[in-house]
Amino acid sequence: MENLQAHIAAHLPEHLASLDRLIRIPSVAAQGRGLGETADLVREMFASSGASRVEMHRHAGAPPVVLAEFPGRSDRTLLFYNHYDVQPAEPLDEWTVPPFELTRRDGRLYGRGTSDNKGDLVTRLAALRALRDVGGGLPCRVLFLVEGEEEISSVHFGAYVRALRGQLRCDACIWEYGDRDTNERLQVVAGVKGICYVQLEMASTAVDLHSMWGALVNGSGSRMAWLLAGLRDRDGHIRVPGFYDAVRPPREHALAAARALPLDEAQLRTLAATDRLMDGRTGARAVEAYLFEPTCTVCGVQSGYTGGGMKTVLPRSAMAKIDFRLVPDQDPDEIVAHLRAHLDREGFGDCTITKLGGERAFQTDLADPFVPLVVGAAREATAREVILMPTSAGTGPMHDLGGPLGVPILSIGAGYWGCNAHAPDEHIRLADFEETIFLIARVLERFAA
Amino acid sequence: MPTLRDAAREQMRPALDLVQTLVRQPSVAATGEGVAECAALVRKTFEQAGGRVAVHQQPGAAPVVIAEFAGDGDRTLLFYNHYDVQPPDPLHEWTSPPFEPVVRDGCLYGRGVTDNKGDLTTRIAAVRAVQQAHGRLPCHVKFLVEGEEEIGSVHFGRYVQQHRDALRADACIWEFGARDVKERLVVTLGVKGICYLDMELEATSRDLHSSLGAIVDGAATKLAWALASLKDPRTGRVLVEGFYDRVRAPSPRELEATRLMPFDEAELKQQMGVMTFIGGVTGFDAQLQLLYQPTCTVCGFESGYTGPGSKTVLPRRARAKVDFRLVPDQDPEEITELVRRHFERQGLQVKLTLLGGERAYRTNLDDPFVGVVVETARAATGRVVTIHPTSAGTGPMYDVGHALGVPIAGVGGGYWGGRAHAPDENIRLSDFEETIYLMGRIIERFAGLP
Repeated sequence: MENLQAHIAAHLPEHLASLDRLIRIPSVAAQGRGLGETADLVREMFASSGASRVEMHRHAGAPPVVLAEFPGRSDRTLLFYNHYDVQPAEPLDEWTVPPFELTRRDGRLYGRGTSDNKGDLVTRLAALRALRDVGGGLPCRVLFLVEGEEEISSVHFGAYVRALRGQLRCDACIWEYGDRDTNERLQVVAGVKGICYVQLEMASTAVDLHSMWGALVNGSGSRMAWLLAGLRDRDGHIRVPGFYDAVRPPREHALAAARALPLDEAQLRTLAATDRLMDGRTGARAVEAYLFEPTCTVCGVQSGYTGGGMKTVLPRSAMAKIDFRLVPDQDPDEIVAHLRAHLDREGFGDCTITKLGGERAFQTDLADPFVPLVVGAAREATAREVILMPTSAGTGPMHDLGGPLGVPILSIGAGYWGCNAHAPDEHIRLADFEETIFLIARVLERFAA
Repeated sequence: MPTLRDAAREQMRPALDLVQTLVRQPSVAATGEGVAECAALVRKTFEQAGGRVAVHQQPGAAPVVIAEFAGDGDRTLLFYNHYDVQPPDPLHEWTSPPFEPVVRDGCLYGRGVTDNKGDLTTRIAAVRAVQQAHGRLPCHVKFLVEGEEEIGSVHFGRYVQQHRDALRADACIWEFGARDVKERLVVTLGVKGICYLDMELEATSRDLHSSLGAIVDGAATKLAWALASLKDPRTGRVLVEGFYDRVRAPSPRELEATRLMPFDEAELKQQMGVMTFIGGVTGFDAQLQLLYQPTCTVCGFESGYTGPGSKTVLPRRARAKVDFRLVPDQDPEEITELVRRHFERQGLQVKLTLLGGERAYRTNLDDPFVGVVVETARAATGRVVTIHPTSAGTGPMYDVGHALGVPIAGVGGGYWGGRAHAPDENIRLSDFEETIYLMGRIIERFAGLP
């Protein structure tokens, strides 16, 4: 074990160089930039890390997924899921470092994708390298499946998994990420929420009009405000009829795990960068809502003139982007249908809905033996207190994998509570990066035993 | 001595020269281009016409030019105009360059010909024509010409207050007036006011991952709630408490005049691309709503990620621009305060900035000056005259009318196809000549001449 840690420490500069190479390619899925190039780099990294097989799979029009296989001593197979795409870097003026290069400052590693999710991919490759160099090979068979559309809701990932199902056979899966919380406890996450991400567009008049006509005509700016305001109550209740129909209440052991979490309202306020949570989100209720309730969030809206000074215009068109986080067993396509019916009823029949992404929620059964295995390895390898989260509040294509493969999935990784994922100045801590390489190596050893 | 009709005709050539000279000097208030030069040109023009001129400049403001032409008696007629123009963009949509005036098919093209340099010119020409016809002016005439009309007359109200004595008058002719699609001459007696607010809401101290949307409201959603709470979508009624407290209902005379206003509802709806008006109003009710109801319009609304594809972000900040059109006697400062309280009551912290505020103004239809203008217009042009008790648009009429206590009527040289604010802005030369004569007749009739 000491050999393993010494090896990791000695090779840290190489691992950081790998991370820098990945960060330097702006693989922004939303903008379709740099994706093929990054996939090529990932393939090259697998090949030079001793993979017995590396395959690029392409689905018409989609960024490639990279599948890699590493042989091991036991016949047990562990699958790692990661993604090489990142969020857009905007707003650029709020970054204190260039987003697309690795900047090391005050023990932190800055750059778009350091935390989500290129840093984790590198820790896993580094763990394999350490095990191979120190132990003369891998203790178990390892598969990697790395996609390039996670940040735009993994549009084609389900189809990839169905097509590759025969090659993905495994016994368990380690998911993309994991955080240390505000008290430096390590989180193990056993599920994710689903998502239904839509773009709404409307044009209320033939042209932009002089705003004096506001006496007779409701412009798109006003109408979009009414539309958005009517989607959700201030207590979080979503007003789209049918929205809650398929919601399955959380299992008792998931609720118990949630109650055991050291997560409280104060921490959630820190996480949310506000001293005022949504109405009714107090105490245990805040934690439960965070983990087990679906959401409706306006991620973007644009209508009319928003530059300096005044322009007296009644805007012709408006656009909004809305993110619904889903829980088991809500179906994104059904949500779109419910939303369509709701908008038609409310007088927004002219507003178009484009589904930009949809994923179902997934929760691993906490009774599976893989759960104590990973929790135990994590506790031992990091000496941290380990927190078992029955589900994340975030989303990933866990259902795409966990559904067809029927394996338990747990997520652990190199992040921490302040890493600004999806925001300017995204970063991870160097110490966490090193710790996570060792942690992943130990999980592999325990998994093989 | 020539008749006024002949004198007005003689003024055509010098007036056409003058308007072209004025148009050749760009004076774009939004950018500041040529504003000072144009003010100097206006000053020179008045001096050459024999006026006593004063140019006033407040720090950071465009110059205001006042000219006074002495005449008989103790009555004074004031003309309000502006020498600034809208930006000429989009340039490629002009048939000929915007600042190189040219006559084509009986029309004069160029930026500012209809808004408002042509009208300024007809009035100066009318003063000369009346002087020629009578050897003198039968009343005092004053000109008040500002250079910030196209950017909301930011400094104008304070300026008029400060120069009330110099501007003293008995009545005022407002900057513009058009011939409508049926060639009726429009006399406008009022304008709406405006309260234009910038609204900014900050929900969290940074952008968040949208998974936190289960426990915290983002700025976009909160501002949507704020905006949605301002107005009832079905009736158009503004829901801000106290908003209607000072609203003055139209007088019976105003209603009567409104009934006579032409209103082509089908044409209007087709141009706008809408099937119905707010509240389902039609016909006369729609006219009443347009002219006498205050409004609330979201002119801009932005938050979060608006680029291509999806970004799962819970945005920290949201911004909106909201335009309230006001009616007498609403006060923009007070409306701002009411909106502030409205949001506070809902627990929504919205930062409000008043970007533009003007009060509405309506001249009393019973004022004898209205009768003089309408009768003169009818007789001088042979046209049917349509009285608009108010425009649905806005202008600094209150600044002049309230400070000076004068009735105001807008009548001028424009027509329905004049393309104010748009490429290929133009006036018809026949309207131009007609308006010189009309303005001359208004001066005569105002002074009590037959």
